[in-house]
Amino acid sequence: MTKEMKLIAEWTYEPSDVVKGYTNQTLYVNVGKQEFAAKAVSEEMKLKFTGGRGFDLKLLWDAVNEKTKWNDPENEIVISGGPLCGITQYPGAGKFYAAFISPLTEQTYDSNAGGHFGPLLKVAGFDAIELQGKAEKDVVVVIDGDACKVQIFESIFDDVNAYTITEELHELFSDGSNDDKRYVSVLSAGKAAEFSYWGCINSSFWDIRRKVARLKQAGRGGGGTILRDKKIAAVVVKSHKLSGDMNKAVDIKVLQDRGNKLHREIHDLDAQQCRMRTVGTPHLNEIMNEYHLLPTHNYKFGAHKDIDKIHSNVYEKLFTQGIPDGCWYGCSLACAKAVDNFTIQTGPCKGKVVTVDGPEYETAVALGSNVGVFDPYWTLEGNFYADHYGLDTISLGTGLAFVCECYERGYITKEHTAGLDLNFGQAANLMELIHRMALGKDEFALAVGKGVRQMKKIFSERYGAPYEEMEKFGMEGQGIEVSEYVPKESIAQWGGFFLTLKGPQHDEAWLIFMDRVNKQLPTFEDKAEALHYFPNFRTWFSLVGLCKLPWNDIEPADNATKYRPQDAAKVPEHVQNYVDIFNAVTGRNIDKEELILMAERVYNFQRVFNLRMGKGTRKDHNIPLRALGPVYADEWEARPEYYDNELKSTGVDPAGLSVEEKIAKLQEARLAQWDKLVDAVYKRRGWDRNGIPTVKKLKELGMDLPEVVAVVEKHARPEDQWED
Amino acid sequence: MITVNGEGLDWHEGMTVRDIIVARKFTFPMLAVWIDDSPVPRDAFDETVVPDGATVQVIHMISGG
Ligand code: SF4
Repeated sequence: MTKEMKLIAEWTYEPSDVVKGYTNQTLYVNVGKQEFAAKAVSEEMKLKFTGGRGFDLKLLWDAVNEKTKWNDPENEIVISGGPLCGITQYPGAGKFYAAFISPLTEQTYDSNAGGHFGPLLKVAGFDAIELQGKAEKDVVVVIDGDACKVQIFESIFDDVNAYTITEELHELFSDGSNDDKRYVSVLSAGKAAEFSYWGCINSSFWDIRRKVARLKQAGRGGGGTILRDKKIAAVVVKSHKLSGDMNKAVDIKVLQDRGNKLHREIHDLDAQQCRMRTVGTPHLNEIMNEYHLLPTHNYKFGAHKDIDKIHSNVYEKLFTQGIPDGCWYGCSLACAKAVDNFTIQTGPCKGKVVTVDGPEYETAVALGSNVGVFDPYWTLEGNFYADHYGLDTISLGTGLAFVCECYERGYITKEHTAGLDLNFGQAANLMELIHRMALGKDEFALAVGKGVRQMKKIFSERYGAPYEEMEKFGMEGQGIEVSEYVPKESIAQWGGFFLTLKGPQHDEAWLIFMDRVNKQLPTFEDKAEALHYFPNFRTWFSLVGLCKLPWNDIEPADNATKYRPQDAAKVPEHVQNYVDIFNAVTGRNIDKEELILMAERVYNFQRVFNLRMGKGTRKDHNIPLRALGPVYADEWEARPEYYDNELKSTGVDPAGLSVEEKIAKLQEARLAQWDKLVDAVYKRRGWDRNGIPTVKKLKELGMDLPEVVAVVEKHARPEDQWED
Repeated sequence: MITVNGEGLDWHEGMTVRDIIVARKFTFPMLAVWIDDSPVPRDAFDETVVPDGATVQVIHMISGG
């Protein structure tokens, strides 16, 4: 069938074997100019940027300039796994990281996915791939690691939606057998990604037990939107060189030893700890509800009486049990749960029986309690269509929740929504809106797909909605929607979401328990220390190609008693495992301090990159008022005693005050706390008052590259420097 | 009276670690409990008695999200 796809361009490359986790070359593909190149990876690049997201950002920096917009041809999607990506001995090592200039945030964004793409790209001969340019017609890019060829075909697919095109491409680029389809992986987006800024990148792996293509998502930031803007229908990688020692580790015995130890922990303890193997991340649903952290009705509330309808036990029954659901070989934590034999009720796939990948916790809540729908079947259908159409489920859910609140408050009406009642809980109408977003035909659906930040502007300009009110409850930071935890009760988590490199995503620091429940972070300096350590530790995963979940969603039996609480939170034994496996693959000799230093280099580089793109200063670290506390009476009145006490703790006596006055006073106090937090965090990170890394800090990190220092010197102001 | 994560809690004779967890609605499964600087193993929560005046830390281990 490849004969039916018209070959537009082809390039043959020199194979480069993997040695110590690296192939030492990256692949450049320009789909507009139909150009190809292999770029050498220097030792310096490995030392400063490590791999994965570090390589992505380095290559992206070289590709764009300070004026590049997300839809300019020079913007790239850069994808890299990192030196540990592809190991099979230690759980959670199949991730790749994608970076690009985001349509939502207009600065750098990075997003990760499981599936087999990262490892296959590496054995095909490359540590990273840059996709640049814009094709005139839809194309499929193929990296054939067996023939050492990169090809660009004119796409023959009428339906670019993810499940359809992925299944067809697995068929097309294998010998058609179930076994052979494992050696192929496909990146795709979907139809809605053409019209929305919420486009996700789907990454496939062939599930040989179910005999279907499974889709994992680099969901956030709009990577799928860029893929479709470049008219890339799909990227295929194939290679039969996968093996248990594909990284050619220096000391495979260390990998086996640390891996076996973790496999045993998972086997013995997962059932009592997080139940990842049976229910995956939705084990958090009822826990978040208990602690008032479950986003409900656009983050107004943190709990709901109907929680039992979306309880993890409900999902446990829906998920097929007894199948090891790892998204990469060797992951015995196996949280990639799926629902089989699900019959679609609406839309173009109505009546089809499908396997739904997920939902994970975030999706179960975004397309659940946050939009006021407590029907797991609806959530499953929403999950399926979001993936199929190429939409990020988190931004979609938080965005729809914003729409519901605007509707509830009368800012938009049926007149604007093309006849849809979009109050919270209007499940059928919300699904209809998702379908409309994939058609891209009506003005309202197009506006919704642009995200909360743009919706605030569009609803105000077009429909007369009050902008300042929407600012209070539009749950976005830096232009991207908040992920699915209520942040308003934890000062440290304000930072975990809103003092991040790319906006409120939960992959930097989740500190709510440490801060709010455990009371381990009493001072602003304590919070700042956590907001230094955890974001950097988490960044390290993105440099080497690891999944975060096996770090702390399982812990050794004696972790809680062997270490003091402050240390136990870091799961020291697992941190040491990471040090050991990194050294065992690469032959380097890092320790746990060097691990943080490696991450800090890239973290600060990315911060300066954002500065270069016209962002990356204090004003860009915006926080909506609802993230700080209640903004309307119904939120306060849902927990009146609790909030009265909160107000008292700020030194204000609530007696005699109206609810509105109490809200105003609490907001005033929390805004002052936010300012203190920002100062403390910037100082700890070695940034000036305006949030810009200092040259001194860059020198300490060895990241005082001339082009990086030049950006800092252009923007740094004397009045923003700390006195001491 | 004892303190749990820095806040007061009424004490009663025979109070166990499990009683504190229930009273505080700590439903999260990955808890680390320390009484006056001594750790309590998870499988001993039901039978470990907490003395009056104790300083108790009930640490929720999740730190990643
Ligand atoms: S823990 Fe889950 S998401 Fe992470 S690698 Fe394993 S299966 Fe994939």
